[in-house]
Amino acid sequence: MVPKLEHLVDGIVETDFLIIGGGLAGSIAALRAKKKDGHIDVTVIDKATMEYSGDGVGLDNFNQIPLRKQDLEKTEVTEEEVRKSTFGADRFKGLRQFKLEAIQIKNAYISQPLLEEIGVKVREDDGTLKVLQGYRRGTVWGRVEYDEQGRPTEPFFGTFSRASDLKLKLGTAVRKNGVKVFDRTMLTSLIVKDGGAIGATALNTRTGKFLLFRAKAILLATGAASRLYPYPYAPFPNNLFYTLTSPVNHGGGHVCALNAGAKLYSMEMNVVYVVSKGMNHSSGGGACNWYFKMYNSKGEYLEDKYPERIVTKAGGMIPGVNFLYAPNMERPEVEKDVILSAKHMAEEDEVVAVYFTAATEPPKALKFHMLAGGLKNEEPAECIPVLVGIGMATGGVLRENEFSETGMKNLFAAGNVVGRGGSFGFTWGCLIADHVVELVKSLRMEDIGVEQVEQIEKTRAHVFSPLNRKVEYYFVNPLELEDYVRTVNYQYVGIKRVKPRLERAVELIRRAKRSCVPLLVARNPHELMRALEVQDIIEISEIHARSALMRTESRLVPCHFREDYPDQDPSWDGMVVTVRREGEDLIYEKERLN
Amino acid sequence: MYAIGIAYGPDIDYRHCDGCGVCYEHCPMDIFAWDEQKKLPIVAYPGECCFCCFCEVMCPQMAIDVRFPVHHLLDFGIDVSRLKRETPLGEPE
Repeated sequence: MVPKLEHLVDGIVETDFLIIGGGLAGSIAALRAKKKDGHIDVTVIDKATMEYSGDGVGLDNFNQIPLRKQDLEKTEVTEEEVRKSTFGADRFKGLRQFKLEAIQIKNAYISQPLLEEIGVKVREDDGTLKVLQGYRRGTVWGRVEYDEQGRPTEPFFGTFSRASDLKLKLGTAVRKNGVKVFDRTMLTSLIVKDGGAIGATALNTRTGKFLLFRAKAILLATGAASRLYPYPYAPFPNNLFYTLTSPVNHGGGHVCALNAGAKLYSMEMNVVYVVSKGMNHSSGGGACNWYFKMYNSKGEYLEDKYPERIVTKAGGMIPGVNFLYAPNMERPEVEKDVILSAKHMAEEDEVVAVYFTAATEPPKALKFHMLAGGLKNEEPAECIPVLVGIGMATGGVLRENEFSETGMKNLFAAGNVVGRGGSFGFTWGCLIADHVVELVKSLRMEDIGVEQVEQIEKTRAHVFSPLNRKVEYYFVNPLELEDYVRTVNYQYVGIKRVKPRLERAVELIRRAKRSCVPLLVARNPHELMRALEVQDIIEISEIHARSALMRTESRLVPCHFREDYPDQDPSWDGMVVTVRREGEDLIYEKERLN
Repeated sequence: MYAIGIAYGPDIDYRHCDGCGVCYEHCPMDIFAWDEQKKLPIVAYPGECCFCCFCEVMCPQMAIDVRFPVHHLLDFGIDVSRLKRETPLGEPE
């Protein structure tokens, strides 16, 4: 007998536009939709709180928009620039959807007026845009340009920066504009009907209430899967939360989308940053705000040794730090200097040190900067690769059309969950909101049928099982299991991948899932959140390892480097590994990216 | 015999905390719990702190000091023994 819906959920919320995740993409989409049409009912659910959530929290930046001096007051990008744009074209060949990239570049400035309207200070007192400048000083995001001889020129680029309290202002504006906000609410499943998304279930991680959201259109903006690898230099449990991007984002959106019928792609591509040891950026943005001067174990400054840049001719929107570990394709001599071992531990010949000289806005960064003695501190720190996770550069939920819609009808995705975070999330948030505002006018609220009620019943049983579990003998702490799985990823998948180790990873992850997940225990809704998160992390870890096994080549090193297939294989040009769910099974395919 | 708990994360100075609940409301990692009897926040899960320091910045009473883990300080060459609680969070030098 099918139970009544009212008995399964603690509350039902009906809305036109449901936004899952209140980070940069989610907030701007909510705001934009409300500004476009005041009558549209918009709801945002967020696992943390609207004011302080997501990767962009407190970073105070609006980065990743390429700027030259002459571009400072630009509000749109021309066709010529789209054509010429070096948005990672070479390095990301075949890994990005260039139709979508072109739309994104064209609309790069779309969110700027709205941000200014809500009081984000992107301008100096004299009215010019605040720009954090700086290739030479460090590792700020930027685009490398080349002169006629193919030598890199001195570009002026930068990030809009010091836009104070960006996320706070966004969150406040979202609430003020009449958006319904559900804080501390974690997505647990997407409700499916006839190949479309018609709602979602969510858990309040404070009260333990299980909620049903019914919606005409849904935006998935749950961020990256950034809890896939541990920070190996920190003790447990600090190693789990000492991540380079927001540790709130564990990849729940990826798993829910997959279970609902959407496809994931490029899940083998793990982002690797080379950063100063001891650094974390819970508030996202990686190394943008830390200035380094890097030298090798012989004491030679790499900047002086390679005056023509220590980066590859890659271009694109990758942090400078990433180039340092990724130059193998074109700059073997640099790689030799900056090479790091498979264990990711710096050894005598492999130590790269940095000068820690300055830091900027995030509260944590500022405090730490001061503790370290500010600019006077010249203590060199070691440089290490950090395995960031999936979603910061490429990979995640696959988008199937120009509206950033996934394979499921009315389920849109933006931000790091599709591998386009930061201000790209802003751009897509705006574009999707514009589309949805028009779309919902022609849509009606779908009814919840018997099939959906059964789905909700199943989800509820799954969600609450760790809380209701009767412990007979052994039980499993969610954090301990998470530590195990992430360590397996680190030891058996990591940067340098090889078939037997990847197979072992899959085996170990499956074993952990089989024997430990049924014993997970939580004492309260907060711990229940961690118990649900670890199950998603296990799911993603297996997909990560299996996708890496399938991709029998190396591409975008160090995001995917197979020791047994160290070169790029032309047969993989333009191809990605996709994964979708069919019943209980996951189907992996090699597909051409549209 | 003694047991040392996790030494990093937010440290609430209860002499100054007035129980406004801003930290409890806004912590992205949700590591605070609420003591219903005393009407004060408690650091329930310091191990899950991600050191964003929002609680410290937001606290109107300046009653919170977020402590960084030892490995973090040492890796940057910071002399832990020289740190003082009074280190203010304000403008850099």
